[in-house]
Amino acid sequence: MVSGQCDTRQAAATEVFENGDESIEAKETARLKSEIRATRPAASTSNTSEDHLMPIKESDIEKVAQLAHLELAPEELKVFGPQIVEIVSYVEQLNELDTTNVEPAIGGFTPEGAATNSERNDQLVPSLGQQTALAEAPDAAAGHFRVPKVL
Amino acid sequence: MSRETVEAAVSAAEKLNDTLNAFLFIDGEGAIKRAENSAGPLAGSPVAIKDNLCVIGMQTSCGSRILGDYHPPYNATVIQRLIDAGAIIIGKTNCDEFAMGSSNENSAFGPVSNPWDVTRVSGGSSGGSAAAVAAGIVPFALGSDTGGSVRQPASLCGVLGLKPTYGRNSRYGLVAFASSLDQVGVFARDVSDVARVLGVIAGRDPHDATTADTPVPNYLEYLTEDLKGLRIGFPPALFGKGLDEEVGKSVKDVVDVYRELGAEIVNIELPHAGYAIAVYYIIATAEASANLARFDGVRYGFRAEDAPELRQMYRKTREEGFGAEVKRRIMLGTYVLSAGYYDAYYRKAQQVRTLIKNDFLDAFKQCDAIITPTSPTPAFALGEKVDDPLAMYLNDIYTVTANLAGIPGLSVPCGLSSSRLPIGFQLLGPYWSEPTLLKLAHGYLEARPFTDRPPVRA
Repeated sequence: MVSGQCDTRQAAATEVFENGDESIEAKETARLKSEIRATRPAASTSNTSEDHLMPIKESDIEKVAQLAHLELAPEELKVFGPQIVEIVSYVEQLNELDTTNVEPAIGGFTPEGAATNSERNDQLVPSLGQQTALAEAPDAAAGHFRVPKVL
Repeated sequence: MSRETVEAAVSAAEKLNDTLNAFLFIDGEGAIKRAENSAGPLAGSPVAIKDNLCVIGMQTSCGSRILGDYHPPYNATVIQRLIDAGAIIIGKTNCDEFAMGSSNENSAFGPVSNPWDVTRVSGGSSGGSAAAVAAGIVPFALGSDTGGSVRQPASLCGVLGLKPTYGRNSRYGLVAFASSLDQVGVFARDVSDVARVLGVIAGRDPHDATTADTPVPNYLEYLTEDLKGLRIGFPPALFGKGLDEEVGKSVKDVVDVYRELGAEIVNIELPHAGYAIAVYYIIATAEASANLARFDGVRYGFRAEDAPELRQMYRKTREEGFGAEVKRRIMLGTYVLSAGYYDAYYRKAQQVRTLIKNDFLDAFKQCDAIITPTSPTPAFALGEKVDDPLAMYLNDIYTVTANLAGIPGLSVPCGLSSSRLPIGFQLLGPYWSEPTLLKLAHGYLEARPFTDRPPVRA
């Protein structure tokens, strides 16, 4: 049942990206499927909800690239798209677990989860200084980082 | 004396680099000069540093074109502590780009070869540091471990590799990949060197709020303690499918050695361990997508040409500056954090992370340490998994749990495969249990010394 869910997802993935090199993709998909099956733990609950399984489209990948300030070439989109779909479908095995009352592991500073004491005296300490801070800039001018026009 | 030692290390690093590609930068002249009058507990000891730790006067490329020959204006805290202890930094070692990889093949400056078989990977991401120690160029080296990047290459190269408890070492000056998982780690051939170096670099740092006040013991004092009565947890479920037979047998033999040495072996369960890779690749990529936003061609590093508009410049710079795996992970991280998906992926992963952590807390009620393989296979061939990101990620199946839970892990060599490739086992312990892990490694290596040396060596 679990791998069935996975297969559906991957079928959708290959459909979306079917304009790529099919033989390589088919081979890769087959290999990934077997790897996923081999490492996937047995489902601990029957709660394999399909709620999160929205297919990722090429336009989604483009949108993500835009958000990430990456200008991907069309060839890269073709390779990354299916790979990201495979990985996302792999990580969706987490939906098998019921985590209703589980606290997320966010916010603890020490390994034990206690906040570390980061207080310090309110004293001035030397900073890098303008010259050092600008020393590695690709384009520094008049004590500033110079960038291409914004508008 | 120390001058000769450093000279020998520098000349070995230079001589073997054509074969191994372990170093991205060697500061021969400077190192020899610094060796003239060094003092401290590590006086005159040559050391190699992964190229994602800041060292004044040397490049910090992170194995990436986007930083290239970036020269940081400050020393990482762990670096400053090594220097203050008299260690002599001879150069910067090759690594997967921004520490993202398990084979060192994601370096923009070419992969590192394994000294045991140059057609095979060194492991990653700290492959250069592992190879430099394995080949005998330096007695110890620093790396960083986000999901196994010290322990896995240590295992594949036949050396010791320690990832300390999260918060044991400062991350100040370590170029951030996934801040809640990253930790500076140590490679060495002798347990006593791991103990010595950890003792020097560990401890609270005002520049890193996640470092703990927990006292730093003299780790050397624990090494020779008796192992009698120590309880070692053995998770049978992790010795099943996907594990190379020789590796499995070898690690089970280690369990027998511990039994002979007087330790008690306790069967344990880590019910959520199978979900660790999924959790890891959500959290690590999410944090990476945020951390790597700083590389935009404005303040340092590479800037793309022919981009007359600002946003275009950002995109072109990142497109040309980052390699494929880094882009893939930034994309994944951006996706799992994007509007509408945060709860489904990131929050869910952080909840399962809690379950994984609780598994360990439960297990450590029954045992003092846990034994597992470090890597499911010995070193694989260069190029073998390069086009298959998910297969590559599965290399980290035994190591990522320690980063997710924040506990320490130590990889220890335990023999060679039939193709004469090193096999390693991993010891995991509760928070701050580095003394126990080092003692267990020392006890094992006293009983079964790992004396084989790789064909490519100084």
